[in-house]
Amino acid sequence: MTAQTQTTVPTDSNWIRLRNFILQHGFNIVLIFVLLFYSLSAPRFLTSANLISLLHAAAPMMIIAAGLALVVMTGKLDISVGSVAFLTSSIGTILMVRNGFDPLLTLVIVLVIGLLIGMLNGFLVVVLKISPLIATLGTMISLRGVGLELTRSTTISLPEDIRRLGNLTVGSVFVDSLIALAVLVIIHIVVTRTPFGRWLIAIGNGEETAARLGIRTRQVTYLSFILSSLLATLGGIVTVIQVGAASPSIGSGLEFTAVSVIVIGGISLFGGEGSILPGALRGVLILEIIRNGLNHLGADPYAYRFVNGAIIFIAMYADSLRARLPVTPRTSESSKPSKST
Amino acid sequence: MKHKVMLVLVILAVFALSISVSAQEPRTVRIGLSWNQYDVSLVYAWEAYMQAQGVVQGEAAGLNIEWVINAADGDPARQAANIEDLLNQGVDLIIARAEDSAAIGSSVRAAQDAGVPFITFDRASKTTAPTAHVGGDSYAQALTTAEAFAQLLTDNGVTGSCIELQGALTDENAVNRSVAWNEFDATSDAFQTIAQVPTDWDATLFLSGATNALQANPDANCMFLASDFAITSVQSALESAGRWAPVGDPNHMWLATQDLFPEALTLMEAGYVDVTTTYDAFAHAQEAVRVAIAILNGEDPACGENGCLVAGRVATPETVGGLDNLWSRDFANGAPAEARTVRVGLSWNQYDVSLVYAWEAYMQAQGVEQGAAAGLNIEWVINAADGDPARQAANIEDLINQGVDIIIARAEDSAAIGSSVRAAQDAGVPFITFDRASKTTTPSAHVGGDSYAQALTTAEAFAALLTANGVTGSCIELQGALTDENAVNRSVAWNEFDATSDAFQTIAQVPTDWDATLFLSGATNALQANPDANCMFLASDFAITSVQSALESAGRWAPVGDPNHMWLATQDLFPEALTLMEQGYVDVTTTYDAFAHAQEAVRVAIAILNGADPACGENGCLVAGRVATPETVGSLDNLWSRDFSGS
Repeated sequence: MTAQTQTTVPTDSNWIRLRNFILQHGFNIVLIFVLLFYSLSAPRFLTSANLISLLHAAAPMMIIAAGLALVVMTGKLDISVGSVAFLTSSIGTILMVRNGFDPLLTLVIVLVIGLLIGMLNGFLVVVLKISPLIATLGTMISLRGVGLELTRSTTISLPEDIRRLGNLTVGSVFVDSLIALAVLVIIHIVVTRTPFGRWLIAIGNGEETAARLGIRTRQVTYLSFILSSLLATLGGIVTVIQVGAASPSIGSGLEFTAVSVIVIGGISLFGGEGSILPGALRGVLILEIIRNGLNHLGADPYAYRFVNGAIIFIAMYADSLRARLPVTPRTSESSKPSKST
Repeated sequence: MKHKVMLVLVILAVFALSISVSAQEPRTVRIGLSWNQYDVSLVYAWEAYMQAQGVVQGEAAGLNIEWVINAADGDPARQAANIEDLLNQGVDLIIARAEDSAAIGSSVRAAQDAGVPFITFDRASKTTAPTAHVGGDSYAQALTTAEAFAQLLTDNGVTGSCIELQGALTDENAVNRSVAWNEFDATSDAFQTIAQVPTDWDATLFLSGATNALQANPDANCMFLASDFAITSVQSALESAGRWAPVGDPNHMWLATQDLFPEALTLMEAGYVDVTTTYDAFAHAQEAVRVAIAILNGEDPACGENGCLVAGRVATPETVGGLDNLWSRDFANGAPAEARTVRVGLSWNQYDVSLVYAWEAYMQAQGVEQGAAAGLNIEWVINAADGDPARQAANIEDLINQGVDIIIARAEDSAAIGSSVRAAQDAGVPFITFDRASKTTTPSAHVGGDSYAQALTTAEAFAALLTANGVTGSCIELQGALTDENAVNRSVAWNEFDATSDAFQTIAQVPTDWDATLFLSGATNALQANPDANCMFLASDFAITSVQSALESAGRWAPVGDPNHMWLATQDLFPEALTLMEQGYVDVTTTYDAFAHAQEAVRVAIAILNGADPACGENGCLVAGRVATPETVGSLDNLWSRDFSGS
């Protein structure tokens, strides 16, 4: 099929170059267009205060998307991230509010629980060989059930001194934004500068081939699920500190937003392609900027879903096109390894 | 090997989580309840209210309360033996209404020797101090009546010349009532007590005493009855004197009473009785259970010097219809007949919000309370569908197969529930949709919140508040999920009122999909875009902490009175919003009234089970909720956000 496509498509035509350019940079163009449009239409959109707020709102999703991206790069999916964020942040809140645990100790406990959940997901996928979608669907449902049972579906407010951390700033920038950007940078380095990152991409390009190349595919996949859960846990913590309470709605539907972000960020759901910087960051920013701008424009409330849906559809279509047209040249954004490790 | 280690770790994690979950299981406690006798219908009311409160407060406190009840047929020695039996049965706490206030002391000591806390109820022990005493505050009861009565007379331009019909002067309650009435009289010009007639709590003496006093004081234009249990005696006396006439009639005798017995309730509704303060069986029972739970949890019940006393609620013909939980209404028929057992199937879509736990506990409590009043013993068969419409349909099929007499269901899917409604109807089982109406098939009845009226009452109260403070509002509206009918109704009501009012204007609308993080980002963005906004409407305050964070970022989180205060109107009054309203941050809300929903559902179910018309409106039996402000929220009873704040 690939050979047939390559023989029937004139690779030197302008159309191909334009198509490849759009596929590669389409969302950068969308991002620039959206920024321009909002800046001209909404007088307070392009202010430093609003842009800082925008980064603040996007912080939890940056962290969660960074973790999910690692799994998606292997060609798999983890849709339990929303429930992991909900359960672990709820447990942390309960430990502090109802059991008087020290916040730092709570943080450690919660991260360990996140790690264990990641191990569970990895176990289901790697050892029991359950489809990632089904395995993480199961944990998504069951973990939310456990979280709802633990909280009795109530909203539990954080202690005041913890809640205030949600608005903590360095200069005028929110600390959680800096943490999120730091996480993105670290994960970006992991993906682009370490063997682990290259193995992820290699597995995404073909698990059997990667195994033949000597890559320990099971361990790498397993670790990607652990990191995904850990970062979902961290994202959940940031979310709860931001909103000031563990609420039953935390993380509900977040997995779909996270997958949308991944796709908009150019990380292929088929695996083996994509980047954290600028890919995942771009995905988060596009969705957040659109929402922020619609707020500023006072848009019809019913427009939000339509616009978000349209963006996601376009992203999915672009991803599908990229998968079907393998002549797309590699670019600096793609993180595929240049040589075997 | 690694896999085994991994598996062990995972199992340990799941095990740890299971322990956490199981730690939430309620602890079972047994409370012994010793009645002196079932001498008045009040005792049946107390018992039913206590059992109902045991469900509600027990659920909120993580306790499963079991009751062990006996009665002594008016014999103090028998009561002592009954209490000894309770101790032998190993109850964790005893509540007793003494037949003899002196003799009960030995039982108190016996319980204390056995290490069992003892609460005297209604009648205090005169010999031995119990762990706590719960009863009516008869002095405060009469005082509030006197105050309200004086105000009423003044408002009507009447100076009262009153006949006081006292109780038995050997009864502390009767003495307290008389003292309070006369002490107020001495300080007020609104009325003067021109005759005092002791009645010994004897209905015939009420009749003869009132007749004689009216003969002796033909100019009397008002009466104070130390209790209205004998109101029909006074009615006869007034009829004889040609003075039995409702308010507005020149012959009307102004009547202030105590207790609000069923007959007095009827006469108040007809305009013959002007003011009363209830002998509040519900509040007594509520307080007894609260004190019992506090003691069982090793906490101080925080009673006053004379015990935990309940003053009762003032009622007038205008307000009595709005008073909930009146024993004189709930138990108007006195002692219940032999109860008929009915099974109510309750199908939850899922336990997704704490409201569901509140609904369930309130329904069970109301089942006990309204069931007792209606001569029904209601058994509940409950299941939940974990958010799966197909599972809910199967669950409802199970309920039908188990032979329940009626089904109440909160649908996961308002369309899919229609097939279950039809299945129940085919099986001859009435079906009540709860909270979410069926979009496809009409059930026997629908009970839910009136989200349009809820938002409308908030908007009205908010507009009045802004106007009173000289503020013209520029409001940001944080909407819910626009696929949710309730969210849409609230937005429509808010904006329709906005269109007709100058008090505020909605300058931005932000959808949130009922997502706490979108409440935060939406509020933050809207505040950035509209820095002149001075008010907000939240379609629900479940995510109030998100809005708090946004307002803090914008430097606008300040209580009322502060120049930076953002005027906040919300819906629902979730626990966090309740706290913030009490602190002056939230200005107006209308409750999503879980208690009233449950009460209405049980009322409708009982009506249908008894073959009566539940008298619902076109869209069902809808409950609008209650408007709350920082000034009024403390006095609102049965707030699920308060009752279930810790669950």
